[in-house]
Amino acid sequence: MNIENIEALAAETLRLIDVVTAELDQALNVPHFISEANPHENTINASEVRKWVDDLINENNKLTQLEIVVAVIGTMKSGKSTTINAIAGMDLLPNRETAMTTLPTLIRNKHGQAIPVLCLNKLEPLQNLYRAVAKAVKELDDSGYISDLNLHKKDGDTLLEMLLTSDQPHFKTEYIGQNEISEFLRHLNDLMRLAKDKRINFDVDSIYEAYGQSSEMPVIEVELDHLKGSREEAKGVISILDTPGPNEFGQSESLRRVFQSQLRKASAVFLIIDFTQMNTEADAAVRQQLESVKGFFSKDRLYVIVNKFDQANSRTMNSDQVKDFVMDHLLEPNLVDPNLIFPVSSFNAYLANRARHHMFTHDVLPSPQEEPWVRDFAKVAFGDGWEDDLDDLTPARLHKKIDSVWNKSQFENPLEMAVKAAHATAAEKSIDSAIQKLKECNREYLNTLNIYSNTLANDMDRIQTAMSSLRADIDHCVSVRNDVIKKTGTLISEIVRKLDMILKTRREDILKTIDYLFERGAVQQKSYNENLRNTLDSVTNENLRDLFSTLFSGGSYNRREKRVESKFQKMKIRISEANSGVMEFRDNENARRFVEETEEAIEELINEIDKEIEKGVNAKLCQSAEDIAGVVNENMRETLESAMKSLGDSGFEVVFHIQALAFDIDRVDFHSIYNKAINTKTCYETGRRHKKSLWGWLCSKVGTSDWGTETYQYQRTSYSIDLSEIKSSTLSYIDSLIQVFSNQSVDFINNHFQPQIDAKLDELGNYLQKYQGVIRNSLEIANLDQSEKSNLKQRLGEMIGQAKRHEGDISSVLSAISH
Amino acid sequence: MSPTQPKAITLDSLLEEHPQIREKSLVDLTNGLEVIDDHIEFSNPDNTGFLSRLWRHVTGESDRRQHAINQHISTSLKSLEGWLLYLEKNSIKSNMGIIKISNKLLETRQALLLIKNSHDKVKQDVDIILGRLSEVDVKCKQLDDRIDRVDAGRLAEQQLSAVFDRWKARRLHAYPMLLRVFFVLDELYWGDFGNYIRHHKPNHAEEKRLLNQLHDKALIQFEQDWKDFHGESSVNISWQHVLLQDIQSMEPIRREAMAYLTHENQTDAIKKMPMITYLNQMASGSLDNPKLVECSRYVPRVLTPDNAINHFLLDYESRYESNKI
Repeated sequence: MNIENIEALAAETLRLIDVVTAELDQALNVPHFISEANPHENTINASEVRKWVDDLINENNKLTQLEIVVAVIGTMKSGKSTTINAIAGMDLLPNRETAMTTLPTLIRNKHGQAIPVLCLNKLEPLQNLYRAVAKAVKELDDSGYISDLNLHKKDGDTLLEMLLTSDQPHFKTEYIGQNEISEFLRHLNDLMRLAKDKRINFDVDSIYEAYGQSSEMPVIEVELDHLKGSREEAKGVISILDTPGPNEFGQSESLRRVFQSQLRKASAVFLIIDFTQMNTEADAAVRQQLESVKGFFSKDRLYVIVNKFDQANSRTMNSDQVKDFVMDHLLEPNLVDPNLIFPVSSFNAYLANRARHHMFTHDVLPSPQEEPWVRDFAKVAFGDGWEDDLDDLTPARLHKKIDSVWNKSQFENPLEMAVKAAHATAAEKSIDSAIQKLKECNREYLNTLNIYSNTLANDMDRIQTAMSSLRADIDHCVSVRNDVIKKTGTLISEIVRKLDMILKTRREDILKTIDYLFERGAVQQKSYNENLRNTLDSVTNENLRDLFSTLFSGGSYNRREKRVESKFQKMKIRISEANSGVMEFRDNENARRFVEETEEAIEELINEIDKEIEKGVNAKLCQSAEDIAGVVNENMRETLESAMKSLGDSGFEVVFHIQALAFDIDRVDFHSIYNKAINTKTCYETGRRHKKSLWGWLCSKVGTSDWGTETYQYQRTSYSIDLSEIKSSTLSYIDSLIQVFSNQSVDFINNHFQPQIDAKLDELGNYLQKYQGVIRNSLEIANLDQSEKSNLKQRLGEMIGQAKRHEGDISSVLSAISH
Repeated sequence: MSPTQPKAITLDSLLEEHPQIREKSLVDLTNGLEVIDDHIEFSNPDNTGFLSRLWRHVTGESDRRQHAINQHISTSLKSLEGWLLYLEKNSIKSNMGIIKISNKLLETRQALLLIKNSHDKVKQDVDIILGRLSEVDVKCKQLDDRIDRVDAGRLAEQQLSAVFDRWKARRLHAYPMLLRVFFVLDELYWGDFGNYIRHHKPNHAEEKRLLNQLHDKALIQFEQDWKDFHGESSVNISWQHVLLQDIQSMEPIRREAMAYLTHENQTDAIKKMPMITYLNQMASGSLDNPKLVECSRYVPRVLTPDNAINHFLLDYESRYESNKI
């Protein structure tokens, strides 16, 4: 929908909120109509109507004060921080060679806020992070491994010293000014990096989850220089969302989810790509990063900023070629609109805005010695020999130069377009929410009006009939519940059965594989030196290919299978050395190598299968969610229709509607549900391998901390490994895995779906009871005298007319939205 | 929504095009006639510009302006005579008009008798007027009887079909499409259709059937007009702006007629008949008319064919309701 239409729809929605709330307010003052609130009565009374008014005012506020979020993501070293600093007109975010954003951070435009303030609402997760890292660092220090840690060369020592000397974190809820903010962000970045180090291995996912919602994220409030006085500001608050790059979230499933959800919510997305990396060796890496974010944003909201275009020359690509390159090589034509690809120079934009900002506050530029950016600005503005030019500059000429640098940066166009479009996108969301609320309030209000009006027109017998029929429908809700429970029960057993089937099939697959591998070791009773070559010859690549095509049926023999195959190839060599399931090695090193390679190969196979199982289970659960919601909705619809019909037969004109049950399955993270169940059984120990993988869990589950400790014994002369032990451990793991998936799925249905089903059915009963209350209350008007009745009838007629007009207007907006 | 270029229009041809103008003017003049003891005068209804022209057009005596009526009784009587002449010349068709006029005739007769008794000089004049009044009275009674005698339902159906045929035959295409809806509904309101609806209780089965038929016919024809103009797009967000321009560029006499027909004296008309009031403000006010802005609070900015018809029908529902007999 185009921006003008959205603005018109927003204006119409606001008009409707205005007239409907005024109408509801007036209805409260109509004698003998809406009764005053009685907390013990379930009906549409004054308190309910006031709640509608409050809800509508809330929608009004959301629509007039839109939260407009422009998310900024960047591939490695593409200049994301510079871009954000350019919009802010100051050094808000620290620049480093390494990726700097570890947590998504909101930079919110706040009028009059010259000095930036970073607010941190939640301290506890960061404090826990600090304490855990400090503890681990001390342990590493004690064991002499501290020098192996991956630290930032400049700030790393300071952080280490802090961690070693104090186990008490120093986080604050507020950081004021660029320096404090920058220091905090650097500190946080280093701490998170340290936490991820495999020797420390803190669960950083818990941090991403804790700060995943925009209400919980660190927020920097500042007047964003370029948006100062922007006309869009009058209608909303613009925030820039600084996100970790694709290379960051590739390391964490939780961060990926946070990232995806935030990008989906964003009103516009700036994707920063480095012009200087195009057509170079770095291309592949950039493409890989972009590949991982495909599908996170829609085409109409994606603005591709090709940064560092100031470095273009006659030998590089021109603007049109850059656009073609982005379309054809980096992204796909269906993912990006060529009109939304902008070659720019964020650095020049930053310099111009930085200079503009400084001129605004000081009316003169600082000396290049004091602030190095002035030198950069002058170079861009005046070229070589800038020193002379800078000396005899008038403020007017300087302003002209600032404008010229800004224009050269070509930053204006994407910013203007994105902010405008972001506003429209944010408005569209708010319109949708407001119009749904309006529709709901107006429908219930019109029902109430009609009931009172019908009570005036009907005789007592018909009213009593209506009351009894509604009572019967309410009683019927109990059997609806039983029916739904029965039907969902059947669906649950079906899911469990299908899960079982999937898992058992996979168990068979893995068993076959293991048997195949170990069989070769068991039948070969020959010595290592004599038989190695023969064994290799007997197991051809074709055999393995057949095995994998059975294992991954339906899939092509792709890179993944090849990778697994190569692991088996390695293992096969070792296994072929086996003697009756017990392998003997002459030295410790060979034994260790064999165990490690075997472990690695099986782990990889299990992880592959684990992913397949998870995918299958997810798909089944999604389908079941739809089926279960379908059962509930169908029952609800039948009940409401029956109630409407019986009331209609008794002369009561009502339209009943309850929002259909829809499980928000997209937001459910099955991966974390299953892994949580697995990981809770895992003991976290510093320095232990595989502790977060399923395989690691297997080790703990079967009572081994590593195979080696139990299954191979170090002797002075020989080392032996019992293959049957490995096999039985693996099988035991597979069985446990089946149990975990099955239990988790049933638990998930019970914990996630059932409460929502119960709530929906409660809502149905309450809804009908509420109307029973309305009819009961309307009976009081039967006792009014003729003139009071006549006045009320006339007033109700007018109010019904208004409500019907609103109903039509709301439908028009809805059809415009879907148009 | 711009109208096709009409040929030059006169008051006569306008009255021919929109017969409801006569009916409304009779009722408005009757409403404007105040009969208090021995004093008879036409009070000045709000929207007199067009009405005065009609009045002059029929009586042909421009010096008989109502503000001069109060000068002396003979002027009042002449003015009254003009009213009766107007009634005679213009046949009353709606029962609403007949009832209002009959009541007014009764009041006027009583006032004239008082004048006759207290002012010897005008006895003869009063007798002439009383004679004329009796003739009108008889005519009214005859019309009233006719309405009672004939099959009102059949007349209503006939009018419904005739009015829609005119619309279908593009006889209203001199107007923007929203005004076509208004003129159709308005003509029905003042004609046999309106008589029938006003006579029945709300929710009467036959009335409901006729109103549903009206809704369906209006929607079908309006959707056709809409499609001819907007193509497949079923939503219009700029109709207010475009309609205002179209109305402002209409021939003044048409605009005046429209302002006259859309004028409603009812209190709260802006809320009870927002669409009609909005059209009235568009036709009668200037572009920066503050009342137009006030009216826009009650009309939709986003229009679909369905909602346009919904709004007009709800406005007429209010109009019928407030003039129920």
